[in-house]
Amino acid sequence: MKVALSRLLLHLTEATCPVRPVRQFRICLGFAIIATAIEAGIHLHKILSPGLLRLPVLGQGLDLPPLLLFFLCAIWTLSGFSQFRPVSAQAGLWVAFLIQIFVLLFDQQLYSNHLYLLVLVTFLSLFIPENSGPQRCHWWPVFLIQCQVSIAYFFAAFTKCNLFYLSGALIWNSLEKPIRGLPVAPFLFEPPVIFYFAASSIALEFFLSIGLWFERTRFFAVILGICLHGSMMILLHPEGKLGIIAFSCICWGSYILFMKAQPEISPN
Amino acid sequence: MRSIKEDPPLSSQPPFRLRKIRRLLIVGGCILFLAIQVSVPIVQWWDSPFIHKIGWQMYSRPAKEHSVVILFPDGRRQPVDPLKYFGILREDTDYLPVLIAHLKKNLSPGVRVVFE
Repeated sequence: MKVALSRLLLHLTEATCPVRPVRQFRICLGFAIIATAIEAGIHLHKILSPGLLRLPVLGQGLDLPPLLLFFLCAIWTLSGFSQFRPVSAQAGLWVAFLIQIFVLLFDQQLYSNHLYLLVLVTFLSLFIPENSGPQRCHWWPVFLIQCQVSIAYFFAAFTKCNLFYLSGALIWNSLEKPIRGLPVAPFLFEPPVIFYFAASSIALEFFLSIGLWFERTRFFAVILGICLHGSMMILLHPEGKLGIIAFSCICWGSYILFMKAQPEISPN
Repeated sequence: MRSIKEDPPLSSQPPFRLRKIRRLLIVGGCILFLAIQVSVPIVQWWDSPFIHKIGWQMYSRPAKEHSVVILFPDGRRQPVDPLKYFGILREDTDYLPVLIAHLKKNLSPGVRVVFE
């Protein structure tokens, strides 16, 4: 235990990892930023409609003129696109991070778990310098991003361990019915089947929170994770789809880090 | 033969003291970050049986349901639909204080607001 801990501490401070998977992760992050920016723009437009009450996080609610709102969302979306080119990625990350913090504190109604995850992951990504020079970068921000995704999976599973979720009522309410206009066998929506869906989703999220860390289970966990997020995109209500796309992009991006960003300590 | 004084300095490596501070900052920052990220969801989970923010409780718990009713002096009861007052209604947002304050401020005398 002591040896493992000292090895982890040594890796945290001294280890580096290849830059290539970090770049691929940033592309996924770019897609997540774009999806979140579009969704937040729609929500901001609704919140700022005249005559509605505001729920500011700090102090009195600010008012954004429509032109400024459009400008903010356009800049935010562009910062997502900037992640596709290594030259502009770091500056784009700073812009995205500052806008996300502003939006998170603008109104309580704008909070969403994917926005919160995006803020955390963007913040950690700022510590990975991006330029065309070195082929390796510090590993500790990558490690924290991996930990953050694991923590999100773990608590998503842990908080689902209650009778209300296991009854399947929440899944039932969240499903799009009929799915994309296609006929679906009615037995799939029967309570016992829904219960098995609910129980297996908990088991799957627990498995993802742990299985991504071990080489033996990693590949299997990645396949299951892709299927889990893919099925959520297809099956859940269309109104929260942009959020699910953003969350999925962050998680899929982290799979690249789990698979390819292996830490190494230079002999020097 | 070169003396020790003539040896080139190890300029590529930061001084030992700086490296030590850097190590402490990285380890301390990582521990702090992870401690916050683990403890906050536990506190939020412990705090209430209903869905809560900053706890990764996506699709996991029921929302707190409020019932707000306007009571008129003649005994009529008018249920309030909160969606009419807010642009979006997130399940994990506590909108009740703002809604009640707004209703109390705008209702005519004698009219009461009741909430459960």
